[in-house]
Amino acid sequence: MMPEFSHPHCLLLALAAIPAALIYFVRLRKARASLAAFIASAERGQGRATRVRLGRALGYRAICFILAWVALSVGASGPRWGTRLVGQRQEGSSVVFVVDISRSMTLTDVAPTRLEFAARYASLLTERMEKTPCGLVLAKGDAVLALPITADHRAVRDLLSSLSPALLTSPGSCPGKGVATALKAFPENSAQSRAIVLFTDGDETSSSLEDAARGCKASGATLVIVGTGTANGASIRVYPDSDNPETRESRLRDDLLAKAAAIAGGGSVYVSGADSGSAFRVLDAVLNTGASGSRLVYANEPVSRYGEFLFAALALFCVGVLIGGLSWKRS
Amino acid sequence: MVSFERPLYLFLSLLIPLFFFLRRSGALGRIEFPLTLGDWNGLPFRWSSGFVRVASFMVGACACAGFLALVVALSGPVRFRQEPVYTKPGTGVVFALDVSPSMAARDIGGETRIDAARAYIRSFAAKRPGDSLGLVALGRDAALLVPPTQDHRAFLARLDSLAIGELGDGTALGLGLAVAAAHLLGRDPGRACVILLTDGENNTGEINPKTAAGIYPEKGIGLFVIGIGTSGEVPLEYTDPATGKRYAGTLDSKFDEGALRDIALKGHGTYISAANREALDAVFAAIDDSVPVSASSWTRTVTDPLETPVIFAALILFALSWVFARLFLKAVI
Repeated sequence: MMPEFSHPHCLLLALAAIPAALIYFVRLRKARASLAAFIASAERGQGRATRVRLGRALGYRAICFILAWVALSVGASGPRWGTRLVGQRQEGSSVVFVVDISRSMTLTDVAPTRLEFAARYASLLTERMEKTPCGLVLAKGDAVLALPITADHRAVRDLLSSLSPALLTSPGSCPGKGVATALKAFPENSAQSRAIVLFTDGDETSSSLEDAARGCKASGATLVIVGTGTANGASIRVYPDSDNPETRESRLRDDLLAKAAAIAGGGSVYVSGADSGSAFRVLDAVLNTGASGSRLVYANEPVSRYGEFLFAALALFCVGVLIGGLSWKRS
Repeated sequence: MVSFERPLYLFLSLLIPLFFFLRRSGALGRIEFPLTLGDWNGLPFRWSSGFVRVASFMVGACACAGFLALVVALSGPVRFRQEPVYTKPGTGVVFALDVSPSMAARDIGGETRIDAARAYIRSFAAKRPGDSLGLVALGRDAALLVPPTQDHRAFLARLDSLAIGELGDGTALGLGLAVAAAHLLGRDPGRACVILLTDGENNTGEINPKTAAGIYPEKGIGLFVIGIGTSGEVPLEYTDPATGKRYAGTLDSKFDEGALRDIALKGHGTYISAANREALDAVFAAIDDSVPVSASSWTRTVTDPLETPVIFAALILFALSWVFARLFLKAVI
């Protein structure tokens, strides 16, 4: 498992140990040479043994201090790995619709177009979610929060009815960014359950959806993916405004979308929008999370590990002091 | 109030007195090479420089303080605070803000009218975290910019990006009031209100402001009309976002308070004139009193970790101790 760092730039502080160690060992070498004669006369012939002990004591101490500094620097950078379940009390539900408005969504393998189909689908869902506040995120090569979470469903429907790829200029298709933006759209002081309903054909130009699904799992949000398109797909012109007639096939990537829903876990599901009764499955997934009364849900929270590094730093510091002191005392 | 997640680690700070005890008792040697310099049978040379003593003390103090900071950080210092959480949309408050060019007049305590309005809306939002806040801008046209939402971050971001002249030259009060009301329909009576901030009279738009205001009592929506700004000649400066042209000069400011009062009357609302900062303070205090604050559903305990600055303190203190020892005490190793 790859560790993450809250303040990764702090890791650079560990590099300060390199010049400090160089200075230390150069000076130690000089000091040993200068003191050789002095120790030899003081110890009456046992100077060599004393010099070796002195060198070891100082060397071990320096190594302990250097490692302690490195451990302290790593601790300052806020390392995190692993997860733990954290209970959250929730009541009611809130939903953010993420609509992929990339160019492939203008294909007509579902009538009238994938995008209009998705917009109507979402609009119908809002009619069934009377008391559930909804928000809207538009995703293309980038993603924007078009409408914050609101109980004003009229505003949501008005915007849904005017969706078009022209609303965002960023090229490409990145529904994962849309999900990540949606996760940030839930107000922090809201205790409602969090559901994200993603409308996409899965035609990604970046593979960010799985990471976004992991983000959903970590924050305890439910990810409902509505596949928009067909397995047969349709052809899309690669260069729409040029004479180049090159086309490519765009199909519904239900394998990829189902995998993302599985990664998100919890009540997350994948449905194909064209399937009859799929809207009820979506409503079940979204509103079941907001069943009446308050309930306890669990989110995966990353575990902070700075304590382990600080403990190591402290132990190394103490060992350094002891090794240096005791060795010198013996000698 | 600062607490500790692992308070037992604080006992490790006792290692500092233990270290000095062992050092004094001779159990722990100091790595040093004592060399007595002095005349034969004379007094030996002593380090008596005040600076050296201070520097020596500083080196020891920094090392001890660094160790102490390390122990404190290891103990997991945290601060617990109670945070209200909400499960319902709360009171809906829509601000209908005039963005006509005259709102760029600088006559509210050296600030422009729109900036003063923005500042007050911000402080209002900060005091009411559970309310759903919406934003309607009105100029020649009116537009819903943010529907009533509890996402105050999104609301404030849009409020800040609002530019004078964004919706053209003019003041469509009727349209603004109608748009604001349309997005508060369906809320419980008394849990929705519109705060209109304007400095002008209705001079454009298809809907008469009184007609729009007439809907308010019918739908149980509260209305506050705030006439913002002073009368007379006031300095004005703004850039038209459509043309990029910059306008500067003086504005002969006058608005028909009577018309605004009539609008408020028609909507069973309140008209308040705010010609200066003190008046605006009073206006928002009055609104705060009369619009019910959304009650939180419950509070949750939030833990704020505090270890990062303490670890930095430890790093700095250890580094200072090392550098001081080599710089001022000329420590060889």
